Amino acid sequence: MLNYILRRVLWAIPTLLGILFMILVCMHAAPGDPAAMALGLGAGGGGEVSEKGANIEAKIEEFRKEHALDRNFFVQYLGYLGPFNVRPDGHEWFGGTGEDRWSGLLALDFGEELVNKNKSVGKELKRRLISVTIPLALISTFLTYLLAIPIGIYSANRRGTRIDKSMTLGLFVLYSIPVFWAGLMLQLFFGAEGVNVLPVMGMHGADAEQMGVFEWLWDSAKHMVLPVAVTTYGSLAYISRQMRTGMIEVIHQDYIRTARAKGLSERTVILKHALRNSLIPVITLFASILPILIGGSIVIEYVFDLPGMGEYMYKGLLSRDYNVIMSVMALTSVMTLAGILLSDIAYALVDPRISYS
Amino acid sequence: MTQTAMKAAPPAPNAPTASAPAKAYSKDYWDLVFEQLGRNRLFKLAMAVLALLYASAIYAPLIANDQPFMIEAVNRSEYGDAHRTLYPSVLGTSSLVKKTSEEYLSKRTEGSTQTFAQALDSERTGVVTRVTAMKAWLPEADHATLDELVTKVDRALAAARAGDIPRATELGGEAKELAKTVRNEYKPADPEQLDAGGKTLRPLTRYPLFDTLTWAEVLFMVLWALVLTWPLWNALVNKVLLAGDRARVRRARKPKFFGVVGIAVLSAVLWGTLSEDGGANKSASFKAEITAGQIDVAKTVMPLIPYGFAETNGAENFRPPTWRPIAEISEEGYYVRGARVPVKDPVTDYMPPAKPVEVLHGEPDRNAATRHILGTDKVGRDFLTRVLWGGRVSLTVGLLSAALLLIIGTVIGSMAGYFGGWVDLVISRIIEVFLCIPAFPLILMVAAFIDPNVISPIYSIVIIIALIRWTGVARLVRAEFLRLREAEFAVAAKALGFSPVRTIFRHILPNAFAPALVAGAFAVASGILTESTMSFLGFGISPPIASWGSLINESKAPEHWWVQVFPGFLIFITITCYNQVGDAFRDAVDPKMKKN
Repeated sequence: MLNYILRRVLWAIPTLLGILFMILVCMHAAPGDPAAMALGLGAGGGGEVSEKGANIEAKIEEFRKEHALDRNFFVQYLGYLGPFNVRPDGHEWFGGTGEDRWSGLLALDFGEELVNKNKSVGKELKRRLISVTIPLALISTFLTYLLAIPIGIYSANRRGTRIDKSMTLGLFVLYSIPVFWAGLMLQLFFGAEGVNVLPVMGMHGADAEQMGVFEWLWDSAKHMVLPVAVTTYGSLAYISRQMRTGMIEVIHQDYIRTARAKGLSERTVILKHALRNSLIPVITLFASILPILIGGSIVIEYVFDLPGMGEYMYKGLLSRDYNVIMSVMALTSVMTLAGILLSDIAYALVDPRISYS
Repeated sequence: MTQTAMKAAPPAPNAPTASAPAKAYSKDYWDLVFEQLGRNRLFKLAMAVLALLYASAIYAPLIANDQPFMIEAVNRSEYGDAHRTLYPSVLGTSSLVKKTSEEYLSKRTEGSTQTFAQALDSERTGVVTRVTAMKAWLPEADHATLDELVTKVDRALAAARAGDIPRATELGGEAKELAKTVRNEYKPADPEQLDAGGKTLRPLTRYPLFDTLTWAEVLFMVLWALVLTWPLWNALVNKVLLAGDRARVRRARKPKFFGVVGIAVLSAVLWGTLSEDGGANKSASFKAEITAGQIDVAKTVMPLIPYGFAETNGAENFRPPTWRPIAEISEEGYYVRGARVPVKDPVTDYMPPAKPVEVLHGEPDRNAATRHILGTDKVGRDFLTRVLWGGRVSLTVGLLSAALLLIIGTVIGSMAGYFGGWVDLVISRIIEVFLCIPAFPLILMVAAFIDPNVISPIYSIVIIIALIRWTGVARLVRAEFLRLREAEFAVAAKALGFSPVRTIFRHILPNAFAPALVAGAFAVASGILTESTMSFLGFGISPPIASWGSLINESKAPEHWWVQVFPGFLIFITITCYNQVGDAFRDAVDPKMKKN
């Protein structure tokens, strides 16, 4: 068992290297110059180039040097990965001055923001993750499972009835609603133009500073309702569908027939014998909803104006901030990889049929 | 398959009449799939909605356009331009023919590389163009003088070409005199001052909307007309031409398919070669021209929604849907109700200036409920028109990205599954790596760094989505190939010495393709979702083109609710339908489900 877990963890290391490699490849494959785009000269800036062409060229050149974009691809990869800093002020081994030898993901140094040179991307990311994105993802995952499992069981036990059919259809339609549209529609409905009962923007009210603890909590909770709803509904629809399918499959197994033949109550059969076995595949789906939650956080935090990681990514994309984008990409991928790893291990732990060899 | 075939066509030992034995037809795989799909009511509903959505996108130029289908009108300004410049043109000709070739060349202005002969030709073209333009508006009786003028000019030019300068000068003078007569007598008559004289012009019938259609648009219009009427003509062909014979019907599938495609391609080719360019009313401002009185209209046939895709109206920016009372605008151009009623500044007594709404020819009245059914956007473009045209981009991106990722995924997946070994190992690892990178942020990242001047956003989005999302299809196809690789028919193909390409594409793939096709239907849905989300965030389609997502991007403000509600609803409907189609298709092709 330990052997299996160890092997899985070790196997994640080359996968991680591959992921970071792929992100860098995608970045470089885009047919545009990152330096020019970052300086706002890609689209629409063409007129300026002719006027002070030499100046612009020099600026781009300087930007490339500063961010090591002029280096060999593999040197850049190493710089991204760390722990060596390959920029001009970096490690002597890579032609730097030795002022700041270590950087990159391995050194847990994500660089500084493009616009604000004094602001560390790593610290900002940590703050945003802890205060917004992770709580949101956790609450929504918890809610998803809390609701999806009973819905799935209920639906499976009434398979073929009208209730099951309408529930299946309803969840199906729910699954197809675009996240950003759901957010906008909820804002319209609950906001000032609609019934006006919930705040639709931001994390706290404007006067959050002066509030008492309970007032503050109540205010935060009200602000979280809509973002949590939007984050949850998609995965809720998906997971309850899977739960229903899994449950139906299990109900047809021989051991359930045996349990029924023994004269156990329907309740015991479903909740004790069927549920445990049908939960296994559903729990491992945790890994597949995690990237959806993280990917969706860009949209949700943009719509609801929440200062989380997704909004940071959005801002980084707007200003073409190389450091922010690459850090967020790396972080989300690592989190996804960790999620997959965890669910594989959890699967192995709960299902004794899986061989560890 | 054989089992079901037996079931479908049981041997009939006690058939009622020996003379008409029950025809023994077996149902093939696709018969069964379609039968299964036909029983699914939601699938049929989804297909019908999709067919309508695609129809609205394909026929958008015919539904919403500022060009009329047909216009019968007198364009006095166009005739007037030709008439006014005809005399100077003939004058130029007559002075040119007086010169010898050498004189012309010596006085030739710097930069013009014309030879004398070329100069003569271009003079002739100038005269003939104007005469043709005038003749178009004049009754037959008035053509004779103009024809004579052209003949005279021709003769003068011929003399000049022959080097007979005195004769050319004489003929040129005659032409000049005649042109003078034309100048005086062929003035366009003003309908309001008929006694002032001049020629009464006859109205011309033109079809400006059809002039704007490209061959590609015609291709899809014809194709979609055939697809939409398919149940009708298919039943007719099967019953009448094929006499309901199942085997013949099955053999006719391919000819029918190629027939439909062939008719569409043929009409597109015909359109491309036959439709001529031009038509004086092809300008975008023609509605304004009519309203301003520059064109006297006898009759126009406008499309249902008489607004152009890019037609702006500054006085109506962000106007709510006009069937709402809040959208009412007074004659001076002020809103009558709601938050947008202008208020005088209490201190300075300043009233914001009014911008009166301009109702152009063919448009509904200022406060008609149908004026802007879905409101307008920030520069006063009709939102319904924008939504109809925007659907073209959204639906195209969805289909193209799904098609491309299906191709990429199938090729890579079949290679991995067929060859196995290290090929499979490398491809599987790459897929595994891709699975760990959240796709949407990655797509956004690549899109943000693409220079829209290098590659148009529509194509870049299609390519990015396909290059990042192919892994799902590849995994499915790989699994199918692993299953089928050792099947008898695959082994037989290999034993016969067929090349891997032939074995993969002709023998294994047709049997492994169904799951990929199901994934393809879901991929269209996710492609549309991805595109619209990207455009909503501002990293996708950008003006001047629009998609449903970029339309929503125009305003996040809750008071502009129509901007967010309507395009989003269409995205939602489209995605729901594609998911439903994918679901139904999966149930139909999955043999495991058929048992239940």
